[in-house]
Amino acid sequence: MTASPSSEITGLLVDWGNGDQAALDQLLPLVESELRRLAHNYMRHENPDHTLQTTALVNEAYLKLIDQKKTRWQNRAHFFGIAAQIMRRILLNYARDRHRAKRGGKSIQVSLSEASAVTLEKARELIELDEALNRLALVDERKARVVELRYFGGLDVEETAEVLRVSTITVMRDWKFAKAWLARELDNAK
Amino acid sequence: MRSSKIQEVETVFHEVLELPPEEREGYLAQVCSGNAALYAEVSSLISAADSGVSEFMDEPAVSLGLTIISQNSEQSLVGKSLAAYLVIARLGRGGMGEVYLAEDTRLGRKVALKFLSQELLHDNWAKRQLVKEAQAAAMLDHPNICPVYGIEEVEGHIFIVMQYVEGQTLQDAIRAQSIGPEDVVNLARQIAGALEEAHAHGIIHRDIKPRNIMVTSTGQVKVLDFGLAKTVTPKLDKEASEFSNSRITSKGFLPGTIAYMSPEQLRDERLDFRSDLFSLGAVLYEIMEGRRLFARESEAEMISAILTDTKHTYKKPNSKIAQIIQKCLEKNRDERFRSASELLISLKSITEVSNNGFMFVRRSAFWNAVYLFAAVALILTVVLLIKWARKPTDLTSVAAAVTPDNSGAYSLAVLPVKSDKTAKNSDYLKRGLPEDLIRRLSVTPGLKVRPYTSVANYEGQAVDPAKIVKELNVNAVLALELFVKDGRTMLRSNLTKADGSEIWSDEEAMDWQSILSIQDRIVQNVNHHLTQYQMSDEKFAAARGTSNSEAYKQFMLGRYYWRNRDKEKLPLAIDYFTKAIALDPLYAQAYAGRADSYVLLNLISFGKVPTEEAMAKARADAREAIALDPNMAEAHTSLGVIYLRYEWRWDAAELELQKAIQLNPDYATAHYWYSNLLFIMGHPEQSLEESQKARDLEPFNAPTVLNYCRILSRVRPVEQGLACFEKLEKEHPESDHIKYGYALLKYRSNQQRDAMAMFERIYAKDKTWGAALAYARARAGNLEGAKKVLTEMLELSRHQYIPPQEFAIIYAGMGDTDNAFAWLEKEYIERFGGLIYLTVEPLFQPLRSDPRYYSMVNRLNLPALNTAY
Repeated sequence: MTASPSSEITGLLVDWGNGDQAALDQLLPLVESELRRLAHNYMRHENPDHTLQTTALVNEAYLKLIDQKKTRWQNRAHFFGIAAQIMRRILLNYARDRHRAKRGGKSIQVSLSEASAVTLEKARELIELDEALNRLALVDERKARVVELRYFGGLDVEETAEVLRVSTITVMRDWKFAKAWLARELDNAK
Repeated sequence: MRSSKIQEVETVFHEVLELPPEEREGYLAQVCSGNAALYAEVSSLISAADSGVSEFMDEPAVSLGLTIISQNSEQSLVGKSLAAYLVIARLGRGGMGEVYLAEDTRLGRKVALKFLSQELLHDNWAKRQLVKEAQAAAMLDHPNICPVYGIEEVEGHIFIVMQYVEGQTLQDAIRAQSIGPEDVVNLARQIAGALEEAHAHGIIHRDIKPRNIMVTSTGQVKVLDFGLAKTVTPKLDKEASEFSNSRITSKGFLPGTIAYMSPEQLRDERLDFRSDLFSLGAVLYEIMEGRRLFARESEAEMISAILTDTKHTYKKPNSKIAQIIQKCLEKNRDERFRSASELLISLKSITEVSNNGFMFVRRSAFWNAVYLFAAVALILTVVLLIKWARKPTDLTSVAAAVTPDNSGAYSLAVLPVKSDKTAKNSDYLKRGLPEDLIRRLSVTPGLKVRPYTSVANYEGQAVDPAKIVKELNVNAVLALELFVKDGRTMLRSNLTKADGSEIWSDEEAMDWQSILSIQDRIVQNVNHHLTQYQMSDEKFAAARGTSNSEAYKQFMLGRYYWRNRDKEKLPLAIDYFTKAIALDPLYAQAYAGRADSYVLLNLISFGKVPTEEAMAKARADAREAIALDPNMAEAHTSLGVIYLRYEWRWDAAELELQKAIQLNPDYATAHYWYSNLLFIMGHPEQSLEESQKARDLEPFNAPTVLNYCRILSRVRPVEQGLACFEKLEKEHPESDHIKYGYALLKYRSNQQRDAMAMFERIYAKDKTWGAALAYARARAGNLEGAKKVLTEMLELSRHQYIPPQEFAIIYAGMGDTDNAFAWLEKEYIERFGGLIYLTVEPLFQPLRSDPRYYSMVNRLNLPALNTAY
């Protein structure tokens, strides 16, 4: 009977949309914990074989977290953008932890074998990709955002276009170019 | 690379990519003629795009992210650096916490970190619990207690830092048979020593079990996990009888593992140190005999065994240690050792201590601190079982003296005390006496006793019992009269049945010493004549509340001042309740009374005690009252009100209020607050229903009826609300509160002129009531008039507390949203209580388009403005 415990998010999203940058700092951890919780429940209650429909999940998170009546259409775009950023951060933190744990020396005996979604190889790739993406952002920020939204946020071309307020053609072109650029960077790194 | 360059690169890149592969090279060379850098750049990108990029980044990483998230999220802590701690591995988890092994990189030593489990991260209660645990353990310094180094809050994680004990739990050690009967005395001494230390600091461990006891490879014991520990030492401040409280049951965790719980713990009674001695007895038995003492097929049987099973078999029943263990395991705590120290003395007298020390077969690198997570189902089992065990078996056949209603119950009304002015203490007794009799008689099966509020309007009237029986439609009435005879105050009791004939009457001299026994006799007689119910002694004593007549007197005084509360009297009530508690620390009603007083302290005696402090005290008292008597509707209501008005925990508030209503459907206060909660949460119909129930129970209580009229006016056509107010105002012409509500309704229903006149009148009488007037003036364009009120009220607020929201309303009316929100923020910080109506109060309307409004709504966790109203 009570409001969603995270209805605070809606207000912050509105504040942020109205130009309150401090609201974003408050928003990130809230959305993150909600996403975590949702994903957690999702996996617990669904058939374990069930492949996660990622955009569906982010969408569901959005519907659950945000009071539709109180927000304008842009908020959805903002939210997706935030979700992508969060995903990127979660993944990277995890990859780094994974790496660090491996390097940690003999005193650290981590029992990660039980649940290692990220192989060591994958962890390294992610870290390198993240660094390359940071470099791409210096060259062309929008392209980096496209990658963040599509790759880390799971958004499709149209959703990405909505978030960035550009045409779908632009998104497709950016995506194609960024992929080539990143692939080259990663190749060079090897 | 500059952006103009990247644009060029990009353009060429896309042009080239659109061409068939065989034409690309030529085109690129042509476009880049003379620009080797551009050629190299595009060329490398094209080859990257061509070679194996097809699958690169095709699968969004988000699915990987979600997989990670959905896996044990605590995994993410491993490898993390939190301040100076590098988390190495997870050691165990349970209902409340997760324990990790970590390295303190500054000191280069291993430590154990105890975190709150993921789902409790944002639970302030759990956080406080963790802090309390750290505080409890930090008070202790003993070789057999695992030392706590500190508590840290880093990056949103809060955790206890404690010694990492290398060894194994007693549970593992028993299982691995690396310890046995020969070790029992040695282990007993160490654990008892740890308990002696804890008890000396007023801490009951409450969860002594083999899993919470570590044994190192050298045989040293370390007692862990004071997570359930409870401090019982009276604070040394002025309120010497106040206990700090940390009950866990209210949160849905069962305190302790059932298998080692003492009988009194299972019965949810107030615990003392001897509860730990029982648990220790069960642990020692297990070491001694190699099997768990109360191991049974089901939880239910286990509970039953702990409560009733006294036949424990020992391999060496006559050994000194077996006798000591047996003494620890006495069901009745009075028969156990009086203290851990006494137990230690007995243990020391045993000479046959084996000195062969400990040879642990296994050296477990990680200790397995697994905490019991008690599922709700389990708790329910326990609760049901205990209820079942307590259910009176002596349900009686019913007497034919009076006719029961359809449900087979007899109804009884206890009338207000009629009193001779010269009778001593009649003020205190007039209402208190019938209320207590009602409470005590209400536990009689088959007897329905009308709540006092339904007879309150007979106060001070000369009444004919025979007439009232009919008016109230009850089977019988109990009339009480205080009068003076030969200089002594006497109480006459008289039980009359529906046909007007007297069933029983009595006359006794009454003073504070005899008051409890007089009540006993009245209860017995009423029961006897109406239902022939014989209450068991235990139940009889329990229903009494206290057996200390002096404590009862203090309680009566406290309640008298509470009922007639105002700025001066409410603190007096608290003093009296405190005295009652000091005289009888198990007096549940006194705790509940004091909780009720603290709850209202900020509303009534502003500034006496800061809201936060008052609420903390109220919460502690309410919890204590519930601990002592889980079935007390008043205490659950108090707790619900704290959650509602102060903590803004809507779900928790609802649970408590529902619980209160379930326990006593006649308790109007619970319905009153529940109607408010429902209203705020956007359930108009249910809210109206609850407010109506409260009104029906207390038709003469102005605030209760006012609440009903208010809700009615919002849920039904406004005419109904106006009629309700009109009637109420006539009945209570002296009440400004009612007038104010009435005027506000008129203001909203196009009777602004009337409303304004009423606002003016109210304000002229009392300047704290100016908000609506200023608001109305400002909205009507009279900004000067509004400012005048504002200035006067601001001036007044220098000497007297005026809730910040009053000023927020004025500024809202004036269109000064910045100031309005500034005052709302102040209200938010002070948690005065009125803020909970943020989304439903019409006077906040002008603020509702501002983003700051949403921010506040969200911080309060309120649903958005409900279109239901």
